[in-house]
Amino acid sequence: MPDTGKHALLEVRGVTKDYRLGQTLIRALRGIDLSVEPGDFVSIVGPSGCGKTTLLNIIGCIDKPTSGTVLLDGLDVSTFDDNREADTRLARIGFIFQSFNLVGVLDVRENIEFPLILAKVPRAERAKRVDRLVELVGLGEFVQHKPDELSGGQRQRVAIARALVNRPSLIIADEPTANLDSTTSTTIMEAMKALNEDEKVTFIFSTHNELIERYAKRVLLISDGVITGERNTGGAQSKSGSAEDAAAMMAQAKSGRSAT
Amino acid sequence: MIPRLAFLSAVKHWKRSLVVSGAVAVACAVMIAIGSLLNGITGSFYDSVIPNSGHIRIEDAGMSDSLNPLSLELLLPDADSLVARIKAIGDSRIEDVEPVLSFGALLVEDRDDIDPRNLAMRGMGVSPDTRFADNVRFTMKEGSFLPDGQGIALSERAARLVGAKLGTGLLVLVQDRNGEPWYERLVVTGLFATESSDFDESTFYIAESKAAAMLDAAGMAREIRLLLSNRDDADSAAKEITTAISGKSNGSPQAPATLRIQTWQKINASIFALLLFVKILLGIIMALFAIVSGTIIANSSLMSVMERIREYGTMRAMGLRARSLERLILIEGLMLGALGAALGIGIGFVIVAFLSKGGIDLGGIMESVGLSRFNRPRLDFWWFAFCTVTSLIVSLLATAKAARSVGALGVAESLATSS
Repeated sequence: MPDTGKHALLEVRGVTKDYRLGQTLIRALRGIDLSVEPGDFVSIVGPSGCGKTTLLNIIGCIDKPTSGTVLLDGLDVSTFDDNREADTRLARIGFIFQSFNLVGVLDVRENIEFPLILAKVPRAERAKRVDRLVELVGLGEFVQHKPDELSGGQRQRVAIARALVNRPSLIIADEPTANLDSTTSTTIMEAMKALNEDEKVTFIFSTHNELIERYAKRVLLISDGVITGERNTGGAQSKSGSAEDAAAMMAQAKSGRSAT
Repeated sequence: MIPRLAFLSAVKHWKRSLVVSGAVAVACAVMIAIGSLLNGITGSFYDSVIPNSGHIRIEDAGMSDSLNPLSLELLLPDADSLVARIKAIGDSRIEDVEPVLSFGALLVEDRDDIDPRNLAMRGMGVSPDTRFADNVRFTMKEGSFLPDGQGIALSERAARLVGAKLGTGLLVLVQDRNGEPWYERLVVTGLFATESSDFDESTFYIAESKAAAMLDAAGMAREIRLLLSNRDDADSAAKEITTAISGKSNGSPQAPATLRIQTWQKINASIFALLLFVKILLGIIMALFAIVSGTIIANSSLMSVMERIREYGTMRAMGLRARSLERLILIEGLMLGALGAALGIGIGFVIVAFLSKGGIDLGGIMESVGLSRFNRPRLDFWWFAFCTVTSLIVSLLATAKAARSVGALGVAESLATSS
């Protein structure tokens, strides 16, 4: 890649990941190269066990590659120690998980606020950001609800708000719609798409659902730990591009159409 | 946020929290109860045994090898002059010096009967206004202790065995120093009841002058007892007395060869041995409880933490550092430990209050060394503090294992768990 003087948001070069399972060596990633520019909306698509989650974990600084480098904002995060990794995740990366992974003992507001507290953001600023995001994801009525009092779609919206709250450069979503019904999945994907287009938030998400992958601008095909191809879709499924539209769509899901 | 999170986690997993706090509470309560029991035994020793034996005792050197502690051949021949010489030292640490004349006697029921009841006992000739014999003087049930130096004081139990009552006569038979039999009719002027049945069945008191007259041992004594204002001065006071008695002023003083001067530590060496044994035994019990409780706490904490690994993984994915996560788990452990310690103190307090009402019957082993068979646990602030701190430390150490286990897990590994 020619050096244009501007760094890609993310550059993955020759990344491999091996696991040892007893005597057996499992090669989860076999040399991954990819580049993600700011504002991208990238989908990683492949069957179960092909290495999608492993790749997202390495990109998200929650796992280390066996070899290769991962440059995030020009910094080689693959060499970071535990604390720098944690700080990088806090400052630059937001996560959305398939199983929502909310903190069960905290309510909606506290779950969204959690990364801000870790980042030592002042109380007033925290309140401002959380209020905005609560409105954005359409959970204004549920701020004091605990996760187990919410539907699957509502929980994932909390997770989206939490991922956005620290204004990260990159949001990684590992099969964000896998535990949701199709209607709620559409709502969530529309919301993510709107945030990407309106707020210029960069998303990388994995899926093995063809309907969901169509939302991506770029689709990377992965199989047996190797990227086998790339499609540019241009985000064909996009219906809207504003955060307000996303809020409106997510607010619709409050009616209880979502399910786990 | 972290303390609040720890609190909320503890509340949410309340069953597990209850097990952890319960284990801490039981361990703390047991430690308090056992410590108070030990404190009771030790306190009883200092309260009753030392005042009875004195802080320093002077006796014939032959007493160390004698098989008969009541042999009249081993009396101090010039006890009165010895007492006078000790008093002449003018040492302000010495509160009291008293000769005591113990002897063997047979108490016989005073009635015209072909077969009167009798009881072989140890007679104690003491000053009527003695500062010793606290266990008797303070447990008088009827009458008083040798009023005007008259009569005989014995236990209610012994009185029953020889058919005596307050105010009735009792024959005291002895063999004097010349081997001649002698008896005296004495009126029962006081009945006592200590908490040692062995003591009650074996010991009576008469005035030292009366005993000396009966035994033909004027000016003599079995031993001289000294009471000090501070028991910690016993060693130095014993040295000063030895110097005064031996007449030496330079070098290391030695008691005259015919005398044996002992401090309360040596006099009660057998009790110390028993106390040490009891301390070790109770220490082992406490250690076992601490280990069992620690294991319960460690396992409960580990299980509680393992159930939440994915939640912890999520927090770390959000940017929580491993060290902060460990702190979160430790704070939760500390909270539960503090709750358990508070409960344990309450339970321990109730147990000790209940047991100290009636006392715990520890049986003959205590009596055999002169302690009361009934032990009354005693509360001690410092022991409470020690138990509280120990409970917290055990909780922390037990939780630390769980915290380190989770802290050592990778984030991806934590997120991949199915919990």
